[in-house]
Amino acid sequence: MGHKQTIDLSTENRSLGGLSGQLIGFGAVLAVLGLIGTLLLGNLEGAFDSHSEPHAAGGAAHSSDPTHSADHSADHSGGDHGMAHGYVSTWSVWHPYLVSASWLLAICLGAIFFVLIHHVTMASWSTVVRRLAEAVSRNFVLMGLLFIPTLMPGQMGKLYKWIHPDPGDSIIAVKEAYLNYDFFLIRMAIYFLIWIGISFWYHKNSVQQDADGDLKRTTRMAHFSPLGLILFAMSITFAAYDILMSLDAHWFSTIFGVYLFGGSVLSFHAFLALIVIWLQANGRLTRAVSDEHMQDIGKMMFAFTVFWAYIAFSQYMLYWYANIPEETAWFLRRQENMLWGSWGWLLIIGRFLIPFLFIMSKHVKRSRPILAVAAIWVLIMQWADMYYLVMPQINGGEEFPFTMVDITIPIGFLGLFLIGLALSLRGHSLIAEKDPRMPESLAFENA
Amino acid sequence: MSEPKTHEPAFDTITAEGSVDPKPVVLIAEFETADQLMSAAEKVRDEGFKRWDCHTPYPVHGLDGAMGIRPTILPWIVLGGGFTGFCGGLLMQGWMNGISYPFLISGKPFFSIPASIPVAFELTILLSAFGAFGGMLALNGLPRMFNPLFRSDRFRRATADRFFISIEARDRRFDADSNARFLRGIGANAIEVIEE
Repeated sequence: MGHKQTIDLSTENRSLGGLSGQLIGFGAVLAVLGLIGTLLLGNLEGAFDSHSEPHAAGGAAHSSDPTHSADHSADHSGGDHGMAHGYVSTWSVWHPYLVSASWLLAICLGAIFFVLIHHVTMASWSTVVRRLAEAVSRNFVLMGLLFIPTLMPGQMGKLYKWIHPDPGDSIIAVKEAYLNYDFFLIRMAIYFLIWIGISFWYHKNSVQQDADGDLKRTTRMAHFSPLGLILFAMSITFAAYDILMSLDAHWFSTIFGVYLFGGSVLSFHAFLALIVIWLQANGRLTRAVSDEHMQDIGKMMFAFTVFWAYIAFSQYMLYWYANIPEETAWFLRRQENMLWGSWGWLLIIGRFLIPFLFIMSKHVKRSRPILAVAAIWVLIMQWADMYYLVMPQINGGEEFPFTMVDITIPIGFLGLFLIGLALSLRGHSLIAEKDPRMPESLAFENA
Repeated sequence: MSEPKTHEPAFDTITAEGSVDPKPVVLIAEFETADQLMSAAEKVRDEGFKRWDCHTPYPVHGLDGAMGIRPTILPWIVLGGGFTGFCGGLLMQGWMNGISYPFLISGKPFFSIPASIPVAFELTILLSAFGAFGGMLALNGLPRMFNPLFRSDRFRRATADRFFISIEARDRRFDADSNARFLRGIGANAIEVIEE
């Protein structure tokens, strides 16, 4: 097709340059704000007092919880104790911490999936933004560091009930071969080794190709990608079980990993759209990434909005229909009271209906300011989703555990995340310069 | 329009066999390249033609804009189909399970949203697909078994290596002579008028 000239990459501003300082500065401000806010507000709210309960009912819930969730777990506990809980009984600052860490981990998981699926399908539309995804995925190092504090025995004990199960809790007892502290640590190490290994290997090969233009690198990256995807699928599934699902060790859902995956890919594309819009607002990649590419990123956001809803509903409907006590306990905690019931509706409407109707139009996807609004909304909803997975475990969902640290911790983490992103993006091109599919990608148009 | 000319005719004429009173139905202009077609299409558009079309061996990006084609309303038809499917699915199940033939199954409510979503979802997809498929056919005027364009042997190359603009005789600005001169002027290398 001769009518449209392919963009000459050499005329593009395609290095981060002075923006890296700007991004690091902004990240540092957010991180400091988050840290100060967390310390100040956390202290005011008593989050760090060793025995304090920010919510007065917290202490009582464990011994005298009369709710349904305790009742049917008692059915299975078999012992005379009768009060076995698979979930955590009291609030700690590590709960909002885990919410925020999972929130950003999801973005990294989406990024690594984006890179792998790009290579496995030999996609060309996404070649122009692949370097950005590679840089985001390198933040797994930061995520690993952020997760380390939660792995300490003290914190684990606060988060995961299965560390110190109630006596006579036979449900957890039979899971002990899998759910024990040592094996948990080994698994977490394996997950992060896989993720960091894949992300660094792809980033390294891609950046080195900028210099040597070796086409074998493309073949090699493509050849590894199916195996990489299998490793990714296994690790995200079991990581979802371990980090989030085992908060309630009585409950299980085989689709839980897919649920996290749907949200991950969705929020990564939202994050990617924001990075591109921010870069272009600062004169980077202004023509290389065209409206056509933005439309495709928008399409992926739309598709995974629907995918997330599909998976979330599939999980819900099966448990609703079968109505088996040990399976419904998790949902009862989340819909039998006003607070978490409303939060569930917030997800149905805010995470599915609103983005579904909003991102549907082509004009929204092609307009950068409007797509940015959608992307920010999607990222907030990803946080709300993680909140919904973690927080109702506290006191059996009897109360709303919201404190100001729920806001300050994500802000601080986001600051660190942006610093990590700036460090990964600088020092080389923002685009995979010599990827053989680059000309095709630059000329990409939606049919 | 087949009055005798004093100068060399600017086009060939193809007349349908057995036609009693042949009248031009369509004029085709052949172009060598997609670029020529694109620029010619822009000029035909600017000239104010309405009933005309481009024919290419492969999709040419940007041609819609060059031809001045307005965005299709097909997405709205699909949306309407999907909406109808969703509401229709819910109504159908509500009436069947809740009103017409209530049947107690393991203590579930006769009608409930969670149980009804799968059918409503499938009907949304089904009617969206029907809307997309049927709407596409209807908007394109398909199925259509025969087109006067098929009378031209030259036109067969539209599936291989040539690019064509066709102007229908129904267009208000249709005039074989002046149109032919105009198309010659913007790069056509052959003109044919098909009569039936």
